[in-house]
Amino acid sequence: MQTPLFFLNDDSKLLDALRNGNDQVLAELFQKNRRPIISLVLRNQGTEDDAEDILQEALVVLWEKIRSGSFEYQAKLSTYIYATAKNIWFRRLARRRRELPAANEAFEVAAEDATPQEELEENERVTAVQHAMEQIGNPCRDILLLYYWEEQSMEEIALKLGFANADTVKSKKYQCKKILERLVKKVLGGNNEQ
Amino acid sequence: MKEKNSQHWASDPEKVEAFVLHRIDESERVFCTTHLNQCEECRRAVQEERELVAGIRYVGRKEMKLRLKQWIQRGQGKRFDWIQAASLAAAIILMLGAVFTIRWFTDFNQSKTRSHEIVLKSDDSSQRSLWIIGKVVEQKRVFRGTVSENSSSFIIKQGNVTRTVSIRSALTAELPLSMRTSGESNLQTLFERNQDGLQLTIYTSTTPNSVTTGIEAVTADSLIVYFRGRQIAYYIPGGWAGKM
Repeated sequence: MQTPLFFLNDDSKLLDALRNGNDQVLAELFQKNRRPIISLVLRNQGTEDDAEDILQEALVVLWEKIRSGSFEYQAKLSTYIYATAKNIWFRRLARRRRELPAANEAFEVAAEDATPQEELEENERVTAVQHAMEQIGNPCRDILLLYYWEEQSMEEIALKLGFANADTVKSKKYQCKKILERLVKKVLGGNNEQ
Repeated sequence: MKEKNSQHWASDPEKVEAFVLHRIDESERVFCTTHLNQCEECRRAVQEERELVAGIRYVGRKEMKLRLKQWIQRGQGKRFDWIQAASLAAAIILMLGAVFTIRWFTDFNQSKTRSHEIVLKSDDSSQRSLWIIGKVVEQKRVFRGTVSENSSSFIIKQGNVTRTVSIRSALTAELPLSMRTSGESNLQTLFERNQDGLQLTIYTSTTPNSVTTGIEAVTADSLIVYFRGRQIAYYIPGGWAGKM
């Protein structure tokens, strides 16, 4: 019996697809990992909607790590996704526990404290940046997202957004950052007046 | 005074950004962090930059999550379209059948094999190199093309296509600490493209002397290397001619 060669396991194919910008593969990962995450969340005081929500967050975390090059393949993708989703869920439970102290006792697993990232996201200035990003408009919004979130190079951004070259993007990014900072000050000023 | 000012790095917005985005090297990072402990103004500048980046990234994540939700909903909608699913399945079966047949008659004469684990570790496109952990393949394969050995280089011919693969081994002690992994079956390999083709450096924990290597099988985007009595399957991202 002869068969052709098949070298790639599913994880390698999916990682390769994500590295090559085929982001819709995340939907496939969602379907593949949905059942165990639902089971985890249902066992720990959550609903099916909670499970789907944290699985989506875990997949975005995975996507960010792959894009920034900081993802290290040390376990199967499903294991990584499960562990990430579990952390997100227990941190979310811990936050709810802080808000509703009486609901404390029934937790199965001790939750971790909020991460520095989450603490940052709850910070007033960070919230102001989010509001400012809603106001800033394009191309500034796209440039800032591509540079700071997707961590793309100036050359890649120039190509994607149709700028003449990397230097043009660099100077535009500088202007956009200044505009964002001004908008943040305005948002914070407005908040303080209220 | 002059020396103090030169260390006051956080007055340079580009440096603050590079520090927050982890785009400075380790020695500079240590210097900057040490200075931060003594400079309240610099700490504030770094914190403000962190908050700005965190806010932008939060917006990015939120958008990505929305996009993901749409893809999932679209996928779920399609799942119940049985006619479309059946047509797709039939097309895939036909395509796979064609691929099986072509590969069967053109590439290999081989026995049935078990599954393979090929893992992409990380890549560095600027150096055009790629770290791969290859896992040992269990059963013997026979390559039907011709492989001729020239010292540690192998010239692979399949039809009109000629490829050169150079294989060398090195000690895992030479690997950067962050790249080392544990486990017998994990043989880390550095893939590099050079003018002639591919250069593979296989890292092992024992002395690289008396290494026997060979090429066992090749497809358009993969190869099996015979190394110290074991066969290691590698996936070549982008294929032989592609960019790593």
